[in-house]
Amino acid sequence: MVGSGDSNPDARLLFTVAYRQHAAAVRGYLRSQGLDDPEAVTQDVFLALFPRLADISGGAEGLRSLLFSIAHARVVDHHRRRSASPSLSEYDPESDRRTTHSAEDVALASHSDVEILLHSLPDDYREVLALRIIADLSLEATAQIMGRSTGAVKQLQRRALGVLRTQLTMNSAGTS
Amino acid sequence: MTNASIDDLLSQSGFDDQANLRALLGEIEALGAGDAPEPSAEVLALMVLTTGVQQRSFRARHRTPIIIAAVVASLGMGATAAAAAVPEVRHAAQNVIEAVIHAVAPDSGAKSAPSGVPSHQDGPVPSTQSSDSHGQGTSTTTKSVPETKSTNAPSSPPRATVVPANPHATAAPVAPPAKGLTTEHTPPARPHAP
Repeated sequence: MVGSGDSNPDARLLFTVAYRQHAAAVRGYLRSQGLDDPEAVTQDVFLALFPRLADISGGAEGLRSLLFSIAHARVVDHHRRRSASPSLSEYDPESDRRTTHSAEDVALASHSDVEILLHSLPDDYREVLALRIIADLSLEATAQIMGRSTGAVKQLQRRALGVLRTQLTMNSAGTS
Repeated sequence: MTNASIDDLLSQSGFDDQANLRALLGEIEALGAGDAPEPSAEVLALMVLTTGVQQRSFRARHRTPIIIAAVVASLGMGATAAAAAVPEVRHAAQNVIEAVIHAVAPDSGAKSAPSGVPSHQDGPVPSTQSSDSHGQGTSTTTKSVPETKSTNAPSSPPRATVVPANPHATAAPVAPPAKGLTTEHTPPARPHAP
């Protein structure tokens, strides 16, 4: 346990180490969940982590679990906002590329193949894969963050992998 | 997540023999790889910066100019002290200063009256003796500030009170220096050559 506070050198040191070790993974997790600005939300996640450093128990695994539980909450908020209100943007003729590419083409071009594949999955499938693989969390920690039992998470990841395998089979059949 | 962890995940789900699926999970894992993003100003304020590169680079960047400034300052002070100890240097410096004062304000400075005696341009000369009648007052013969009061001026002999109105008159009498006043502008006596 580490006391928090602006003047606590232990908290600052732990915060610095946590940022250097996990900031890239947090950004990748947020990116895999389709957030608009994963870099900025990564900063928000770590700002929310700092006052809660005193709550950490369980060593490095506990720190990672707390960090990604905060990130998971941001993802849930993002999807909730997006479903509650349509996304509006001001029309800018300079950025109107419809004469050359469709909006779908532009969206696909800004993401890698694996991101497109992840975005095609249901939310909970994508979530369990990201928490298990990108965040490198255990079954138990993933279950705690997602608010499910360990058995339910195990079942969920098996179904998610099954969908991915089907997608890979379809893609390979389409290219051959 | 390591390759062993990905293998564990695949074995837990019954997909041990899926090489292409293992490769895809490796690509998902790579989304979280790479360098940490640049921290924002708020995050940076909470981090420990003493272990960073910024302070080292700051010291390295400012070390050389600080050393140069210190050496120049010490050399300058040493040269000033050495020059002040030599009488010839003092006299030469005094001549230069007088020449500069004369160039800037020709009617004052070097050919002005001794300190303590009002200049011709300083306005009306006190017609009566001031309260400081013992010649111990401080000099107020500044050329740029006209004197409106003569209370601080040292006393002058009675004939100094008949200064003509025209300050450029050639026969303008010059009041002798008051007693007790220093005449720092007077060069020291030099021995005559035989």
